[in-house]
Amino acid sequence: MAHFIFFGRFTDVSAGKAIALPEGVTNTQEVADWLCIALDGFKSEWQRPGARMAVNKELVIESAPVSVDDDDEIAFMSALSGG
Amino acid sequence: MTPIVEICDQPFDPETRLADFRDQLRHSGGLVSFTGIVRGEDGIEALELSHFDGFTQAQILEIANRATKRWPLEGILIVHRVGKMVPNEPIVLVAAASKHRREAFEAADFLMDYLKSEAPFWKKQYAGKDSAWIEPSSRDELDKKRWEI
Repeated sequence: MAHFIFFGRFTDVSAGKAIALPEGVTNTQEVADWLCIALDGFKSEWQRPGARMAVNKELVIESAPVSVDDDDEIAFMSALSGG
Repeated sequence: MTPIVEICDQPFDPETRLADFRDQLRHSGGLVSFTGIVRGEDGIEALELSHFDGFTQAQILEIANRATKRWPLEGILIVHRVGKMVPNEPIVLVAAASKHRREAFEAADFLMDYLKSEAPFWKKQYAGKDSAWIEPSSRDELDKKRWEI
């Protein structure tokens, strides 16, 4: 099962958990599209400026989706507040 | 020179940490430090910082390495709190040491500007029963842009 973790505003949507990726969800774009439908409140946070995604602690550029599978750690971060 | 980057979930004493850092220096003639503390304005009772373990440290180290490429530094120390803090508690300590003062001043300023805008932290402030996420500020972005020349 993929391990989902959420930071910032995304923690208001979900505390994060291990979830099996549905069939047909094989890259980061598909993960985001799936969560927009499956998780209440996710879509509005994902559409906010500064929202980003990381797979195994590597930032993902939205225009260049990367492959994901059930061994991956997938993180969603809202805009950084900074240090 | 390897920058020292620490994330801590317990209160820390900036003076002690700075003295320990200074004791390790051998060739520096200047040591500049900045301590950020929780502001107690607008009825704020607490500030909670969260981070992405491993990712946050790596991003801060990347910022510190940019500073070492830009200035001849003998040392960098970055200590950052996470967890819940009350007004007046230290949040961050940044120190830069170099042979001459100008490089240390500029490096410490650079490090803070980049920490404020690029370090993966999320802040929530608490006032009474209310809580709110703190959004990135345009001033932080402008401060960072000063270095993009």
